[in-house]
Amino acid sequence: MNRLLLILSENKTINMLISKVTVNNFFCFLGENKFVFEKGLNIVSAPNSGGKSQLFNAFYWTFFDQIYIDNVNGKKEWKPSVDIIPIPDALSKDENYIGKVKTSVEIIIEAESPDSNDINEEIVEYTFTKTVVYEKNKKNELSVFNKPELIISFIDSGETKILSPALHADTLERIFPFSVRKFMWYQGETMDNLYDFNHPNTLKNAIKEISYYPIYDNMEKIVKSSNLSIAKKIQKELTSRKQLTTEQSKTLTDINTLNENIGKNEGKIKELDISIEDLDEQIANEEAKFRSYDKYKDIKNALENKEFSLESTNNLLQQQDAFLKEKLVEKWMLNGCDDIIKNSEHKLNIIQTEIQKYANSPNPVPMSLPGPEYVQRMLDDHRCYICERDVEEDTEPYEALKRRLDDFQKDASYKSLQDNFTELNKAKHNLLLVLPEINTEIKKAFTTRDEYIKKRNSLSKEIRKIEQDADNDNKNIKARGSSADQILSKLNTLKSTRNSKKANVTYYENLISQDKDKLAPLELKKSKYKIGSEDAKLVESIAGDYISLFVKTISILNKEAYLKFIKNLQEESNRLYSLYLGGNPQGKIVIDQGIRILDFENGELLTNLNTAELVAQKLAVANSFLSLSEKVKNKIYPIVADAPTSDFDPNNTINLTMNIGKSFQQMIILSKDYILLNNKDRDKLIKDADVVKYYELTNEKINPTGSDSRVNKKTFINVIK
Amino acid sequence: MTERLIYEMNKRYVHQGVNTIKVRDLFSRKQENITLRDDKFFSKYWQVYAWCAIIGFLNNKREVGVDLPNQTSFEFERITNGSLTIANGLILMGIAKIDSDNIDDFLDAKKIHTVISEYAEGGAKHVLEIRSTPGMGEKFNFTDDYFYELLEREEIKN
Amino acid sequence: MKTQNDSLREEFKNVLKLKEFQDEINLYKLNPSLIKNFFEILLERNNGSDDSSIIESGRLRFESFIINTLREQNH
Repeated sequence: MNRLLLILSENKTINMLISKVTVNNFFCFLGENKFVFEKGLNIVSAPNSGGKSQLFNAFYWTFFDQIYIDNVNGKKEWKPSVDIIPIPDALSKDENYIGKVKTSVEIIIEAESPDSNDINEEIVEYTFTKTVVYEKNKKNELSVFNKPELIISFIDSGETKILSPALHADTLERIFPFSVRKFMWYQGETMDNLYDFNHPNTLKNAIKEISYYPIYDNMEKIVKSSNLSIAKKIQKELTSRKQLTTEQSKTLTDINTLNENIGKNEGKIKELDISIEDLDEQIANEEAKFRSYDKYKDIKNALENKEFSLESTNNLLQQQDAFLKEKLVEKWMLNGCDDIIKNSEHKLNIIQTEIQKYANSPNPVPMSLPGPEYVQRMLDDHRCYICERDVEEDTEPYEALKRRLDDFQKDASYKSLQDNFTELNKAKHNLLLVLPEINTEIKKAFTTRDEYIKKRNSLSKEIRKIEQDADNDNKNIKARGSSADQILSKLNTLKSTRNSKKANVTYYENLISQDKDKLAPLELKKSKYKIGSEDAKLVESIAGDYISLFVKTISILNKEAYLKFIKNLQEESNRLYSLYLGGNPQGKIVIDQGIRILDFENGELLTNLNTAELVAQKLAVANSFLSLSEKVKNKIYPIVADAPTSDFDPNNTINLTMNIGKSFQQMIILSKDYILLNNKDRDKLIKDADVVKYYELTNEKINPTGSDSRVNKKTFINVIK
Repeated sequence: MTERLIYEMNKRYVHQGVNTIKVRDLFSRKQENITLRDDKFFSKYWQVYAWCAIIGFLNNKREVGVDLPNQTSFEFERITNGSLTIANGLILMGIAKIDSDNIDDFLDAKKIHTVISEYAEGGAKHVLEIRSTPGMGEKFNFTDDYFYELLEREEIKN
Repeated sequence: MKTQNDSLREEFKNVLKLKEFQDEINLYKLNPSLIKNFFEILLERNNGSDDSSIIESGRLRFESFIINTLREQNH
């Protein structure tokens, strides 16, 4: 009964929705300001300094304790909110205002229940309220009166429950998983920082969040270890029933030991892989330090492109080598044997002559009358059943019967000869057709191979030259406290550690391979043992049959889960990419080690993409992660985008707006690019793009006659829709 | 003889001489599965055997009457299943080289087997001799060597 | 509206349809509804964790369930 309830309740998709945001005395929002959002496309249009960035900050301040704000150099960066005072200037800088100021942001969202049990995956309304109170004294000094506090409450069975602070971090992680978070909160000016796809781990972590891969991985480990364990149980049981010979017992023990070794070494490889991933991340971080140098950026791009081409070439070369080998053992090794094979014609002619001789000889045996068995029977019984009389040995009729039997044998012999002749002749004919072509085939295949080798060598040379040039220049450049050659030296250490770990991986892979080689004949031996009778088959043995099925099936599912996910991600990214560019993408997005755009026809890396295309690419990939999570994990996330089209021209902005809204259940765009629209065009956009909420923000004077300073300014909200 | 020749050929085990075994161990991997290791050129025993036989045929190296002690490694069927082209080629060349015009002799599966194995032994010995030539000690350790040998055959003919 | 577990069940069902596994099921006379039940045990409490103690307890659950189910069947 409980199982049934479980199945019935598993019918929901978790559909996250941001419903309401109330901002109170937060930066440019003086007093209480309410925003209501709905399912679909919501637009907040505001010019620069109009308040859209602060609305974005309202989310980030409440959920993640961070603010995106100008730093000393005038550039914007993420800062922990504890360092920032969010009070509006109108209050903090107004000399006449004394007393307490309360800043708060309240966000109401619908998301999954905080109960971590799978059975109760309900949707629940959360209210996140963050509050901080400052006090201003007569000297205009601000001090914290009440520290910033976040209260998370939710409604359960009609009651409002408050979440204990100890559970805040976990709940936030459940609702906005860390690696998906990057894709949900789109900060148009810091795209690179939020999700850097050149970072191998960004891709991997996001994949772990949004695919079955970890679940199948877990299942595979369970069934594999179960397989080993059940084999031991079977052996133990059979030994105790004395149903195994010493040799069989030894074979089973050896098999178990080998499997265990293989398992251990596979574990070691997994650990090494994790270290290598970590090193990759460190290497990427170090390389990122060079990013501020245009020159190094160029060098890095050039290197990456070359290395990508090198890898592709190596793959092609490997494939070509495999092809060459295959062909050699299939037919090429007969190259040049034409003459000898032709010489067999002499013998074949002999056969043919013999066949013809027989065919032309008189008295061919009529095959429809008494067959050879009949004749043999007559000989054995010493009786002719045709004329119905006894036939004695050594008489003429007896000899006649024997001659008939001989005729049958001769005929069978002739038939066989004919079959053999036909087969051999056909084989010779086919071979003599195929053999002359071989030389040409070999040469052609080798030419292709040579081309790959040449390309590989020239790419290697180019890579070395780039690295050398970089090396020669670096001594003159300093980077943020550590000189470039310090970074390079650290990079070299990291890379060499990584290489030695990779070598270890190969070492363990070889050990595993050798063990598997030893395993195969033992398994063959084992399969020939008839252990136990059919009727009294051990329970453990039957269990082993089931477990063995699981090992094979789960292993396939595991492998496919990852590949399928990458394939889906790629397809979805390309679909969105084309959509965002109005159906005119320059190339196709390809995801393997990282994310690149390749030319449609020749598959080469596209490098001269303009900003709009790059933005569209990043948006497409980010959004496809989110839309895949909908399909795979049945969780739909909203997306909040600040200035997604800041690099687009007006046409592309409209295009993007029209199409992006369709990709999501809920999207909130904060942008300055719509303020250029006149009212008519704006209303048309609202209608055509199905915009469900449209707010216009302006930063105006509070006291129209007062000064133009920030103290006299606040954001006004105009609700268009 | 009332059975098909190919059937008779297939069911018999291939007998290999000492040199053939030596070459086999040099250039062929032990087990039948494909691994990522690229140390040996051939992945199955029948391939290296067939290759030795062909080398023997082409260079006219036959070890007539040689002892073929190794008798249980594989049936000829492995060759037929691996590549019918190669199997047919070996059979036809074997038949061509039997010194008798009597059908019962040159369509005798046992005799054909013996001829092929004698040429395999001769071919293997030839390969070992090449490798003991100064400067050629590494011959056939590398992939390229096999293909250059194939291409050389045309030049030798012309 | 499918849950994640539904998607996993569907994928497992599909992979079982492959000929090699149908052959194996027939050869060893495996019961398809038992196979389905055993899969449910793998789904239970599976959050993709890598922890070795979780794997071990998962293995214990899985194996005991199979053996107990088969024993009950025999009686």
